Amino acid sequence: MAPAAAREIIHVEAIGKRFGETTALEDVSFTIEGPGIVGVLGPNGAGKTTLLDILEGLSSPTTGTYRLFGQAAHPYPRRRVGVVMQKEAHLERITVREYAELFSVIFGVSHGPEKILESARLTHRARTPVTRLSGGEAARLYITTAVVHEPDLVFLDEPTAHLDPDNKRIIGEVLRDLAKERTLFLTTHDLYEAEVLCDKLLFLVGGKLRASGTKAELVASVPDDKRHGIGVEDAFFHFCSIRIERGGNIGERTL
Amino acid sequence: MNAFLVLLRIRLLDVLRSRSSTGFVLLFPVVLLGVLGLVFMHGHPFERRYVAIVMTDQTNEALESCASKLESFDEVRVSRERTEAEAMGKLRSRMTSAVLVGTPEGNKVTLRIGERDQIFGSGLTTILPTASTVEVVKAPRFGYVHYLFPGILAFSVLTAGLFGMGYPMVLFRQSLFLKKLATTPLPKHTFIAANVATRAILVLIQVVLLLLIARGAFGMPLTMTSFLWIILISMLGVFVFLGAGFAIASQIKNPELLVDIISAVNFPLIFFSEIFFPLDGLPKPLAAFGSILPSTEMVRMSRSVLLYGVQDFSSLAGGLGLLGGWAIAMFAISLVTFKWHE
Repeated sequence: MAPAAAREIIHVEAIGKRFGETTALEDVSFTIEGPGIVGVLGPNGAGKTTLLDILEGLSSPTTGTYRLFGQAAHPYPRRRVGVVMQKEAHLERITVREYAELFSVIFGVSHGPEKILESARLTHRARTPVTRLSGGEAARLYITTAVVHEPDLVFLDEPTAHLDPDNKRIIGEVLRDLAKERTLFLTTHDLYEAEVLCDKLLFLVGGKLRASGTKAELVASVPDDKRHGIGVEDAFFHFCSIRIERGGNIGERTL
Repeated sequence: MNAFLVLLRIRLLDVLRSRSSTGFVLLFPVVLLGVLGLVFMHGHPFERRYVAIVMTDQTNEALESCASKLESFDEVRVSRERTEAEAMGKLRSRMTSAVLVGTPEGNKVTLRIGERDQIFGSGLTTILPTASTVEVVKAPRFGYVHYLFPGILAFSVLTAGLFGMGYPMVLFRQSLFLKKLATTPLPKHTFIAANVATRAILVLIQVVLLLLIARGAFGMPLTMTSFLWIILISMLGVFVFLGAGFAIASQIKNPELLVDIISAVNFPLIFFSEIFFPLDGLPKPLAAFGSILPSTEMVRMSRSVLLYGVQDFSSLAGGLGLLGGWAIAMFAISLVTFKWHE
């Protein structure tokens, strides 16, 4: 990643995070330039959510620092950042329109609800409780709401988890479209999603950054004898130290 | 082992593994019995008779000597009232059995009693150190419901405040709604204010409804002035308990534990706030504890306004100030301790 200060979106320097005796992140450093889609991959407990919490300004690192948009993140630039959580806000009886209205007003966007309903193609569901939306509809609502204020950076925690293949494709298209003008920083366990969506990848294991770079760079760095011709999946199992038996069966973890 | 026994074992262990549940289910009733037993083991709260003495600004030696004499009897409690109207309000609501009023000459007293207390009144005249005349007051009397009503108002306000604010906050935290809001520029105070306003509006509707039913169904005396005073007192009260609910919810993350803690807080508030019986029947430390509770102040002020006809600001200023102080303290704690996300 060539240094280009004007396009620097995230710069993380030696970040660590401890919860009592547990180390969730250790000496993590990377720089992200935008626009594009950055995927954070790693097994459960790798520190992905902890990293996301820190970069979203919800938690402070125990050690190290980070910058957003080339500047210190204090005060946190809330209006330049959007967040889509894995489990989104569920107020039982809030309607789609009310949900859209709440976040539009918080971000001071006039005509926000109309914009959200139209972009999410949910105008006909405006009076439906959010909890009654299908998985795909809900994902569209949460993503379009998170970008109603036109942020430069959007964090997404497993945005397509629990979606069927059709909806994964639709949400993928939405994300690709958004990434033309902004940076999306997403966590995922879906290697296929990482393959088709992400431009850059970070591999986290046990709180440490194992590798980062463009998808092509990382896939190319996998030794020949560990390559099975499945791109990001090869890179994932290589960098996350998970062995694949020849023949395609996923073997024992050796983390 | 059949399914019934397995389920029984699992459910029992589930409860016993939770310290809060075990404490609440097993220990709380024991504590309740212990406290009430210690408080009431020598009598019940209504066995003492009350005599209200109207003490105006001028010193009245006859009244003072009567007060001293009555106070020497353990079974009689003496209260000093600033106005005759207030004392008569207490007589009508049976908060007192007799009212002693001085005469302009200062050497005699008048003993006013209700129709059902004539024997008690006759007994009093025999022990009073001053010449006295007895007047039987024939006025409409209030029932226990009238005595209870201010307590019911306070109870609904404190429950709405503690549960109405505390429980949703813990659910918001659990559903990550608070975490979501933390990722937006929404100021903390705007969020708190919106939630407080929501609950305050609901409590306002509840209080108006209760007042209308009390007036219509039970003949509770209600004027426009007393109505407005009750609304003001209730609103101040709800701010206190919303603040308390918020402060508790800022510290407790588990909804089940929160319910247990709020219930445990509710208990002394209900028993020691003069909702069901006056505090001066209790041992002194408990009475002193009860008298500083905001709920007690709410009950006392509401009772004064509705039953004793107190409507001037100077009489209520102290209580309003106390409630205001509690409200400010509770919200200051809430603002300091509230976190969007752990």
